[in-house]
Amino acid sequence: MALRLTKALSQAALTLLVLLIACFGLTRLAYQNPAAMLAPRNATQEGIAAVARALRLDEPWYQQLWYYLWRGPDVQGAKMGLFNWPPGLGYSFRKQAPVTDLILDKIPVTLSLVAGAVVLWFAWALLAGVWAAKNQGRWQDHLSGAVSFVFMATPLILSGILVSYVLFYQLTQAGWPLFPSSGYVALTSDPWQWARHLALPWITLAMVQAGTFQRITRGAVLDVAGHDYIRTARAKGLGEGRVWYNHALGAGLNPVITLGGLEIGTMLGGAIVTETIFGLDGLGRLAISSALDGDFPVVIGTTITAGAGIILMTTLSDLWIAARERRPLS
Amino acid sequence: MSDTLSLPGRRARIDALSFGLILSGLVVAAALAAPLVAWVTGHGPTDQFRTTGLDQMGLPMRPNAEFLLGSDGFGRDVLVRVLYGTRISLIVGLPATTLAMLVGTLIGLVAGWSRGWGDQLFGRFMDVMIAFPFILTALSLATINRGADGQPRIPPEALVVLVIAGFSWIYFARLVRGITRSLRDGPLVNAARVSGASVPQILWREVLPVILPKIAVFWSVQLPANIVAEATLSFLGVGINPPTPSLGNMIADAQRSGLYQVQPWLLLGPGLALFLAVAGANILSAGLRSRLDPHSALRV
Amino acid sequence: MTGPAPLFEIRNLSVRFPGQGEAAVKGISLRVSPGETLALVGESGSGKSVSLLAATGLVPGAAQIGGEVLFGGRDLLRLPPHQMRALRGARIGYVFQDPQSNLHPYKSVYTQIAEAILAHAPRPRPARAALRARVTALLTEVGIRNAGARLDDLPWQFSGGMRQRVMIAMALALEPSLLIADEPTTALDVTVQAQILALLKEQQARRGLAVIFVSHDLAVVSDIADRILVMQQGEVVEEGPAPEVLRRPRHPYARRLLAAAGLAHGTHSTPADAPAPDAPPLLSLDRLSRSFGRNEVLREVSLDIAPAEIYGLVGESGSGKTTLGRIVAGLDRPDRGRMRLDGADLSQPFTRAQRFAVQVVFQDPYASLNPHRRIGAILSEILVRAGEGDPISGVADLLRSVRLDPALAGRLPGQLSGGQRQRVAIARALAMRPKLIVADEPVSALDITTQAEILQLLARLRDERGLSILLITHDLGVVARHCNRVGVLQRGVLVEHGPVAPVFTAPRHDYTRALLAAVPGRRLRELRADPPDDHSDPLQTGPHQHV
Repeated sequence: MALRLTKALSQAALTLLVLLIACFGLTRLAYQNPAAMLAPRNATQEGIAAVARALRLDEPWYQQLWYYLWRGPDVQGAKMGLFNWPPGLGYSFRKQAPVTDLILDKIPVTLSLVAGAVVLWFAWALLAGVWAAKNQGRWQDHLSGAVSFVFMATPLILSGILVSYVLFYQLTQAGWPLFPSSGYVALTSDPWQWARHLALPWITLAMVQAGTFQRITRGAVLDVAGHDYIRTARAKGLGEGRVWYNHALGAGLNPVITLGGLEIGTMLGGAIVTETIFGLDGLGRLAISSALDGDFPVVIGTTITAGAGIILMTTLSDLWIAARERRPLS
Repeated sequence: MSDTLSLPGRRARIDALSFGLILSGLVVAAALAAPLVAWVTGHGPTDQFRTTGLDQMGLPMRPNAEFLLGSDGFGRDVLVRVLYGTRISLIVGLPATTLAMLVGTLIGLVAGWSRGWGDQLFGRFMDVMIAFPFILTALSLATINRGADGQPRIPPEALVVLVIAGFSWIYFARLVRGITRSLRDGPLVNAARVSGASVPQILWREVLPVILPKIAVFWSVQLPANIVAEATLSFLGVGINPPTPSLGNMIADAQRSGLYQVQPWLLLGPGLALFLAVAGANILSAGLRSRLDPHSALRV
Repeated sequence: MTGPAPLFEIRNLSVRFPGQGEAAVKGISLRVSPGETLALVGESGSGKSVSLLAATGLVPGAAQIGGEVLFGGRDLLRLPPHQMRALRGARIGYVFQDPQSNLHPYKSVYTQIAEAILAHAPRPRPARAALRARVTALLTEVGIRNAGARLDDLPWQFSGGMRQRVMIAMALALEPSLLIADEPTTALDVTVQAQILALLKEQQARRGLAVIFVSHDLAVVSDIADRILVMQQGEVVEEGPAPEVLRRPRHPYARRLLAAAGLAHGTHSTPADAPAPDAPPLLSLDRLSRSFGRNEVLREVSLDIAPAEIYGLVGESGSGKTTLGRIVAGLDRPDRGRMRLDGADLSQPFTRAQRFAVQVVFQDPYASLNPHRRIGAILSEILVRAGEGDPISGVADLLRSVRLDPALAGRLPGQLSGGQRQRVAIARALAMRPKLIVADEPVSALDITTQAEILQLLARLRDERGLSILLITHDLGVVARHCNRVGVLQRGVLVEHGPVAPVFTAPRHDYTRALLAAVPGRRLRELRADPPDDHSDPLQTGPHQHV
């Protein structure tokens, strides 16, 4: 088991390293002249060249990569490369701060956003999905199917604006300012305000996923509903509720876990659209703003963080399934 | 013997496939009709009508006889722009999904058939691909695509197609690889092998017929996702850029300017078009699944 | 009918599924008393399982169910669902066919058994420690060693026989008075089958259970039943005390079933002779070994197959017999050892001539025929590959040689019966004009009367065409009836081999003796040794041929 875990971890590390190099290459291709983007607006040619030299942007790409990985820029004598201890992800040209600090600063926002959405989304998807499967072909199935199709057909860019318009703008106009339109309050400073500020993003983010996962759950449960062990559950005298919500859902949960892990992992790298619409300063906004600014140490840092989020969640879901089956990780 | 407790449901009056086909047909017809509507109204998708399309305050007009869905903040016809935006959605979504399907099926077949290090390599490659940031790549490629004169080297629509296909072939490949692996040592393939069939013959005659209905269904599952992907990229400003209308950049425009509170069709127009395009494709895929692949559960 | 008052009685039960023209069950009646075992016998589709599931409310709601089902004086069909549920699991226990598919894959055996108890336990619920002790006692009682340490294991961590014991423990958890056992030993190895049958008998005697035993196999039934009821196409065609039905069945269908059971399980009659000992072997295996990881599946297996003989390879699941078949067929390669075909080295990749010479008939004709292609297309493709000039008449010849109507060439595999499909699979193998056919459990997916027909076809092909067949099977009766020689595999080692008659009459190895002793149908064979003076001796009647 320990051996397999080591193998999984080293595979994850390798994946991240490949990801980092690919991303480094991509940024070098994309930003033909980053020094010009980073230099002050009215800088002279010499000024830009000085910036390039200071950031070693005038060296061949492999030397830049080596420098980035091994040392990173010295900030007050501290090396900030990935292969140092403590490992760093470099230094932001624009924000004049270590990338690691910038990312750590945003993680609570994204984590809060994802955590709340996940609770809402799975609560809805599992309950409604099994309910639809249990009543397959009847009005309950058609109703929940219709709801899920509406959820699935309302992309984030649309549902975000609609939720914010109805639940913030219209409610506030009507004299019910229940939800603020944007902003973030840390959980540690005021849990109530934290939840109040995040409620609308949670609903938005959960809605689109809930529709898809409701269909997945329904399908997965119907897939196992014909199996012999479901008949065994009835033969034991269990009630229909337990047969469906415990036995059938338990047996059909694996695809939900796998796909759920992947989706949550993707979100951990930043829910860019939701963060943009609700003005949340999370990882997604950091990634897109640094990409637009040409601040590539931050671009690479946020990419690695997003990749790590995906790898973490897919590994966790694989582990969970292995634990359910009591088999070693394949 | 009743080993399976199938619960046959009552037949719906109109089945999902026909409903999805009708809805998708309407969306396609609307996209095809865009130049016609532009010609009839005399409003091009990027033409600005500052005198008739804006009121004295410079605000957009609500729906009226000249602008059926009103106008936007530049005095452009919202209806014409929505139709052209829908056109872009399909022009990007259909080829991107089809390209992803072709590439994914081919790579999935090869990966599923190979054993040992080839299989390992593909597994690692997929790990990297799945962890790769979609929007960042789109942004970087859009930057690379800008030539020295600031003009795009290849049309931005084509670039968005490539980006979306580049990120969605992987799901086709995973599906095909999984099925191929499960068939590879199964009785169907073994029977063909002992009767002397070559590998291409086996893939063509035994494996592909099993895969085809599943990838057809998955194509229709992936299509709405790719339509949404285009809209999202354009919404974030890294897809189709203004003034070319796209549903995504129209929604972004409505949100950024806040003018939809004055002229709701700024949001409702592109929003509804996007909703119908995605809903139509989703319902079509549900119908196709029950027709072509009735025994598999919904695996997205 | 005399005897104690019935515990469970079905009167005129009919079951019809929507969308199907004919009713699945057409007015059957049966009764069973405490301490009695009633066997319900018939082939798949005869309605035997459906009728019992419908009678106890386990058939989905859309089915139309008519008649009366009396259990302890109450009509189950008119009971409200919650009262029906209170009976199921508590007063009526079920043991189903395949314990692998009938136990929940992700719940520990403790959870699954405890759940059955808790579903019917009066409040307050029993404490966890007491419940664990009770489940441990139950599992110990059905013969699971060290049960306390295995409570939290998942079903797959048990062997097939142990899983079926878990199933039985679950059925008996609440002292039921009726046990419905639906093909409880069909998925098990023959020695395990004997143990499970013994366990069921023992539990029945101890608890005074009424047992309804559903099976397709009269031989198995003959060892356990007090009364036998034969069903065909939803109707009861024969009913009576077991010895009477076994000795003089009245209905022709019952006679056919009995004949098939005799064919499948008689271990003494060997019509085929061993080939001349000095004939050069067609296939010769020399010390083949194969391992998967640390698991050694085959260890130094050596055997010869002569021209025009059927070589029976027997063994239980996990004995390595399928792996050996795959190696001979060129679908797997041995780690060590060598194979020769007609004296020439046979190793992967096979030469073209060798590929044609060794063909395979797979176990499941449903899975090995491409469902998208017509029979004619499947066969003619192979004929063309084999260099046949006129594939159309070739296909017709092939179909005739396996006793099928050439008109079937236009059908899809899905439009054929199981037996017809297996004949097509044999035709496909014949298309290459092979010298050797590897047949891995070629009949185990088929109905018992169809099995006999397919085996007779193989024997006829051997005689007509001089084919050699490596017949891999778990069924000693098949070997006794059709094979010239036999090899017995136990955990990868060929423990005994030789001509069938001497091996079966005087087995030298303990494992062969254990296998032979476990063959079901002891009572059937005893009755056969003492045949009635009736002209309709079931074992003299050949199987009915339909083409």
